[in-house]
Amino acid sequence: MIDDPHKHGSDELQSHLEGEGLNVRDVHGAILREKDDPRDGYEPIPLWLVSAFMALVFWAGAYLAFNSGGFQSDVYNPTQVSWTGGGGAAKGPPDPMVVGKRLFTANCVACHQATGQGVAGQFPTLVGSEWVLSGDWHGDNHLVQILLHGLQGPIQVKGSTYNGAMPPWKQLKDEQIAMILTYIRNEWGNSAPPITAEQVAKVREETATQTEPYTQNQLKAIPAIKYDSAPPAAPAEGEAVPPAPTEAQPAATPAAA
Amino acid sequence: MSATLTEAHPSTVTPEMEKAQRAMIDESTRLPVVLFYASAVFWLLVGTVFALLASFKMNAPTFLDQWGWLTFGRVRPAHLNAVAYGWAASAGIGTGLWLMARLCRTPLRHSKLLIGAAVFWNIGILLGILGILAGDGRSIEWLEFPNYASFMLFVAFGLIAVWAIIMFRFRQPGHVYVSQWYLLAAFLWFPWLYSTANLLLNFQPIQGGAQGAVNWWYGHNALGLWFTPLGLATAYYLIPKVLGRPIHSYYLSILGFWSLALFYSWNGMHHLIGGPFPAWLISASVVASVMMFIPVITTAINHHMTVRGNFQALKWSPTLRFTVFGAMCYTLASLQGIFMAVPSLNVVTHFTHYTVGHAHLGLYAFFTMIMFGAMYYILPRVVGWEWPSVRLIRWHFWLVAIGIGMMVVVLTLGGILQGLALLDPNITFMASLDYTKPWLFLRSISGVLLTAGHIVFAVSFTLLLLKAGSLRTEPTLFGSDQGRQPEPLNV
Repeated sequence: MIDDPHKHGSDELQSHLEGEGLNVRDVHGAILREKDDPRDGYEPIPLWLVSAFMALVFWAGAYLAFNSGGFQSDVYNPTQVSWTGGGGAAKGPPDPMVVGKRLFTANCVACHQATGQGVAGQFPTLVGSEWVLSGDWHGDNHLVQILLHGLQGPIQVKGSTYNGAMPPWKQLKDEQIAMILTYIRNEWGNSAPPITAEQVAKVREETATQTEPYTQNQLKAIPAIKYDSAPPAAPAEGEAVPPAPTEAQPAATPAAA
Repeated sequence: MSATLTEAHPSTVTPEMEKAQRAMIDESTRLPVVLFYASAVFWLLVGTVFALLASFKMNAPTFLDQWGWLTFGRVRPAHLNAVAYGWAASAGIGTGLWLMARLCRTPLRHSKLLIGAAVFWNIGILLGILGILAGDGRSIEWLEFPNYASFMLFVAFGLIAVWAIIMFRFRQPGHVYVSQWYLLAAFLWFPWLYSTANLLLNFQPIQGGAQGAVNWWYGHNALGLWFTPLGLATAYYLIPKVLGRPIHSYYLSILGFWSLALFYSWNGMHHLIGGPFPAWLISASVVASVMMFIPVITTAINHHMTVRGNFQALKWSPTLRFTVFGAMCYTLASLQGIFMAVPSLNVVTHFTHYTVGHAHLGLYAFFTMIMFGAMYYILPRVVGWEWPSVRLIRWHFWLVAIGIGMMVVVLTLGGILQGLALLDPNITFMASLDYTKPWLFLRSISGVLLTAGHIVFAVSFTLLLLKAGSLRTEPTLFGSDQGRQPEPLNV
């Protein structure tokens, strides 16, 4: 079976090689004895294989339909099917009591505690506080100003004196501050009208020159405004509050109360 | 170049002209192929030493822990990068260069590009491994090389990609064989993957969880769109070549190639099942992983039907035995990977040694074995010398075949036990580690077998380069030293 490569055809081979400066004696036996380069056969693809692959494709579609969370970027549970059959239902606005609580937990509980009670003698309570609920001389605008720029020096809360420092939170977005404030005004038995992102934005703009935290006396000198007495374009369902991408909730989340 | 050879119309080419052409092509590939193969064998030995160290540290955690540069956290990535980029990629490039020239039916052009690439490549790997040992490594799996090293690798790859395009542009007219689709794709895919991942993770890092997604997009594609096409291109060439039979079906080849290109690139996210990623991202990856049935089954049928009726050739041909072993393990590793991507099974295997076993089944039992097969075929042709010792080849085959078989089995079994223990709330984490101890000891033994096999191969390789023994024109076949008459095989 193995032809001796040097026996036949070597004259023709030599003539081809001469132009390349190669001699047939220098060409390795492996190159001479090896078979031609591979060719393609043309057997058809078996029908059973095509059928099996089609079945697989069908399964793939079904799996994706039931495990894709409706292809939403904020759904992390594969079996939470929010497949609405096309078009996609309009998402409800974020619930301030849910998102506000999350923001409060992330930013405020270190001092004011999860109960809102603060720490006696160090951090003032938020529960029933005239500062939060805009009682006495306080206004809703004061509350927003404190969140934006902070508060320092001695203050009186529900008859107790505190002397600490509240840091400014102006790095938070308007809608985030609005949700935190709405949350603390309606949690732990508190009840007061919501604060909207537009109101926060307005205060932020008006107090843009403020660089230091306020003192109690400075705030007292600023006229109190109660937003609910002159309501802006009903923000209650917050259609003007675009859901912050990181805070957005799937529509299916029940409102926590 | 002689006009009669390079410009003759295909229909007028005689068998003698083809032989002369093959001789010239192999001659032209000599330096780059030997350069990449020699560096591959060198890095294989280096990577094996790091592998042994890392494995021994699993058995005796205090082993060599007095030096920071030999701690597990550095030795393990040094192993991965030395074998993945140093050995596997270099061997794949060397094979790919030779195949590219053969399949383009034209002598290799611009070998300076390739020699430059080999220099950059080796300096990059040396810098990278020293950087990892010195503590500069990045904690990103598969991309541990510091930026000064990965940049060198990218330059090397850019040169090779440019070369591949030039070669393909100046190929002889005629049919483009399936191996060439895979080769050209791999030579273009990898620089894209490597540069994108390095840019988004090391040079201009993107934010947060998306880094995990990019990391595994790259990690899995390095296997799926780089090593896999190189390995398949080689198998698609060598199996029909050695047997002298046509590949079973052109249509299956097409289906296999395009379904691989379509589905493999989505697979990476199955490494992140259970992670903080949108559900659709993970589910799409699970689906794509299961759809890998299509390219895998297609390729397996195509190869099997080509070899069918000729399995006795595995008794004689080292090339075929290594290559068919690798091709079969491609099917095994891919099927195993599909099942590992199913979330209910992934729950058990994730974060266990099972995954390590799977990685070795893919990169070693499939890819590395095919590369050994390719070296056994290509080197005698480019060096002009037959393999000096069939005993060394036989030792090499059985040491690495038994070694890798044992490693995959023990890591698979140990990994399943570890995974079940991790899921059991009544078993503490520390206790779950105890389940792995005997299996990791056996893994070290399998590693010693592999090391011995690599040393045998390196000796054999060196003897071939030195042209040891006597000049022969007949191939070095299994059994030829035992007085048995080999089947007539034109290998």
